Amino acid sequence: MQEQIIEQLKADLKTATVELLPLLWQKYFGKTGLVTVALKELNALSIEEKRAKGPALQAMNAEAREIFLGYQESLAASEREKSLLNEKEGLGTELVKLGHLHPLSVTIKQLNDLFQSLGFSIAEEREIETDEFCFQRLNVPADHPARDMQDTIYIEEPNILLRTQTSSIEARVLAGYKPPFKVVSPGKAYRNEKVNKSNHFIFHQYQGFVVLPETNLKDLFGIFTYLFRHMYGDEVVIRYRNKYYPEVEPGVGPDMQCFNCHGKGCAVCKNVGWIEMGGAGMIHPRVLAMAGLDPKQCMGFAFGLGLDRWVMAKYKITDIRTLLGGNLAYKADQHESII
Amino acid sequence: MKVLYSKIKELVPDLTANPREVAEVLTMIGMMVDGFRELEYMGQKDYLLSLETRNRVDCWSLWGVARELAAYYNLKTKIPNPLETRVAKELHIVVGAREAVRRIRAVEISGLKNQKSPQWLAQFLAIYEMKSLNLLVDLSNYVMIVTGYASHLIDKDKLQGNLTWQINKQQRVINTLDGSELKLNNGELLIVDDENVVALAGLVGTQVASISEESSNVVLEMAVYDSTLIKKNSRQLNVVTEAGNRLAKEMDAQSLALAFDHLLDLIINEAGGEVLSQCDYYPAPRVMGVISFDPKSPSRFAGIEIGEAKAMEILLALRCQVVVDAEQWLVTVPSDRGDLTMAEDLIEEVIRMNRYDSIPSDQLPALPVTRDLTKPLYYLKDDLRIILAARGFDEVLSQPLVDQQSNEQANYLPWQAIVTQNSVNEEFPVLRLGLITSLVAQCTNWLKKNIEPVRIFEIGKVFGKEAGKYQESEHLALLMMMPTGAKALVQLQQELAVVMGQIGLVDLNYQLLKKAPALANHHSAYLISADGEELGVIYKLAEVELGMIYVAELDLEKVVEIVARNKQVAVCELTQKLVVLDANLELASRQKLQEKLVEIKKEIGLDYLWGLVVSDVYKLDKNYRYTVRVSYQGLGDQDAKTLHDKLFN
Repeated sequence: MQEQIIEQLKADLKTATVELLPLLWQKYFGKTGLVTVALKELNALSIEEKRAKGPALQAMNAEAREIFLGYQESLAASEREKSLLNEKEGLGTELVKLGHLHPLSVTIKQLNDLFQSLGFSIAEEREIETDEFCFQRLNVPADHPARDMQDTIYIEEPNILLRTQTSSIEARVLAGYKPPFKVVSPGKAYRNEKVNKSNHFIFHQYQGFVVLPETNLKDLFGIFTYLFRHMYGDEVVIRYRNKYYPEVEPGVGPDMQCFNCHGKGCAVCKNVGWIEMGGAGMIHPRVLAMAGLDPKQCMGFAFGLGLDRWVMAKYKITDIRTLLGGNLAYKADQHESII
Repeated sequence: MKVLYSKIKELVPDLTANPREVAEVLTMIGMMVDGFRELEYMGQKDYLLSLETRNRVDCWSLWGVARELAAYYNLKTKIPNPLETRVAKELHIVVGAREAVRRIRAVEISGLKNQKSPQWLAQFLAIYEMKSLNLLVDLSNYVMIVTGYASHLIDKDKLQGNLTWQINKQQRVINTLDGSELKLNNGELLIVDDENVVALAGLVGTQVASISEESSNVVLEMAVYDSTLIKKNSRQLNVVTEAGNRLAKEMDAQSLALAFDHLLDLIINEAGGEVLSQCDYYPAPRVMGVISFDPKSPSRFAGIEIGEAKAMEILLALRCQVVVDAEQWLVTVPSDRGDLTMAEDLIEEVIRMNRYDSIPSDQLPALPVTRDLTKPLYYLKDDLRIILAARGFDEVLSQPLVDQQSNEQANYLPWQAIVTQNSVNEEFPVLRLGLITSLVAQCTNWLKKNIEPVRIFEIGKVFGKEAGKYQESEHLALLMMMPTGAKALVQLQQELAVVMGQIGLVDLNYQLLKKAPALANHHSAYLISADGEELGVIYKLAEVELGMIYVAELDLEKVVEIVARNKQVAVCELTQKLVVLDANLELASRQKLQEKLVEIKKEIGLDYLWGLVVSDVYKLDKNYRYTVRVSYQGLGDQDAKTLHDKLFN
């Protein structure tokens, strides 16, 4: 009898589906199910008969349930697998569009990050400037020889112009804030030059200036050397020589030993072994005085770098117009870290 | 300035440094040698050094460079010291332009034997790329290179009357020595005789009384003028000469005499002749001021110890007179060093002659902590670049000077374009009013070069004039290019919302632009605003030939202000479930809806408002029905419903 029930259950389960399982459960384990009825029949037996037949019936009940639940579990697993198979997704091969920053922005960001780590602020200012802030407050009066060096684009000659140098930011900060301060200021400057492969009327400068109760050329040189080592590596050789700029005194011309010939002289360095890297110096006392500061009470140093040639060399750009024109592009699958 | 090494050796006989060492020293003390050439002069190997002398007009001469080297090595110079020519007879000249003339020395010489120049002179001038003409003219040019002072020789036999220095007051044409015609306007400093213009003073002579090999009676003049006037004349007439380059600088009138007498000595020695008369017009001889100098100051500026003895040695080597007065020194500088006027000038002299490479340069200074002056706009731009790159946008930069048409096509601002007055690039005469046209040009260029997809942005300044004032503002522009047929304006809108949301600007509002730029499809052009301020535009380009191009431009200076005054705090501690309720609003337009939503948000307040979205729009006859879904936080079901009913019923 018990064996028949087990065999019948196995036979039923062979064709069972998820939907049929509840009915089969009722058929065997419901109130009138085959297993339940067989167990109930024990109630009518005497104690001796119960002792004789009971264990076999209980064993049949346990076996039947194990078979049923085992099958139910395997069926559920099979159904889930079918469902997962239906929902399966693959990976694509389409190229993800990466965004890139302009090389000038990357370079400026690297410099800004460096100087901010040294406690410098970043200042930006107007590009339409007055003669006063672009020249006079930087110790470049109307008839000063320094004006020969830069042809100015005027909006309203002689007083309203496009700034010829980012030093005008220094003049603005000196006029607007009380020292002490340490500031760097990246920005555009304009010169009245014809555009061609080598020259542009717009170029990018990186200006820095510090005004403190006491500072000196040794501080300036230390900052500058740190900057160049950061950008070019510890092997870089820098020299500092005297150079005239109207807004500083003493003036400094920082040069980097030619990376191509290591000082021997070649076409890159015009055979002098060194490459000019900008201008620097102690802020001229007249510049401080024009900002209402007492040169006896505070001192400062300033420096300026041209960014365009630097960026062009780094990214192997041969035409300066590329920086602000349509020919600059980015390789879709290459990415320089911008963080 | 070019310097022949052998000539420097003549002027500083005890100099032992070789040409390379001389070049290095000159570079380090302020005159960068940017050219070094080996050549032959008078049968000997020699070297030509090209120097950058900038503000040192005294060093536009061999004498000046020799003095620098002598000072550096603390050696003596052998600069000629000729006797001043003294004759009793006064050469009569007339100086009408007194304000323009600092000093004139002139002599009349007769019985000269002009001829071809000797080899040493012709070869010397050839090195300086000057053509040898005749002995007298060549000597004049030679002395200009040696001393820095330009001179002018006039054939006395061709002169009509006396020489007069006067300011030109009429339009006229002169024929210069090189044979070209020059139109004079007004205000030029001229040297004239009774009938003709003899020279454009300080710049170029005319053919009227020019020197030839037959000239035997001459007037020699050497002068220093108002440098500003010479510079102005040179620029206005576009006359650039060696003489003019020098006289456009503040030359020392005092030292002119030595140069003049040196030239006169050479002329008499080489060409014979007799000085008949002379004059020296020098109404206001230069008096050098005394500079008070703290001998400790070079150490303070350099950051290293430079002893007082060293400072004194350097100042004396630079030919300064120094009087020690307690802790201050009273220093008088030589007259040819007009660039030295204050204590800081002397500090620089001491430090540069002590060489900058004596100052350590490998120590990062521990500068004092100072306050951060960086403005929020900088950080905003910095963050935006990173966010936009992360969203797949490439950064491009364009030039702020553009053509007129570009400005007109994309302008949406109430600004007038700013036109430059003197740009040499006539094709780019105006400052840009916006960034979109540059992005479109960039997109076009990339498409021509098969670069796709195009998603680009630019952050940069735009410029304009409003109510007579010059304005400039930092803008952000985005461009997204999609295939033809795409309808992706909403995609760009979402990009903008994500990017602006990341920097704290939510609730961007849009309304159809009343006056769309010419570039735009005016049916798909919207004004972007937030917090009651117009921020920019978003639109689809009208031109579809290349594909569908979507652009947006925003004023970042306004964005940063709004972000600063509406600080967003999204974080909250959630203690009970949100209550989400819908409501319908019948309103005439999107604009009205936005106004209503602002009002509702205010009424709910940040403590109870989780979020508010428009979940459906239905067009009615005249109005729109907007379904608004409000999520309340911190309120029970009943309280939320009560508030909701109050707001919407």
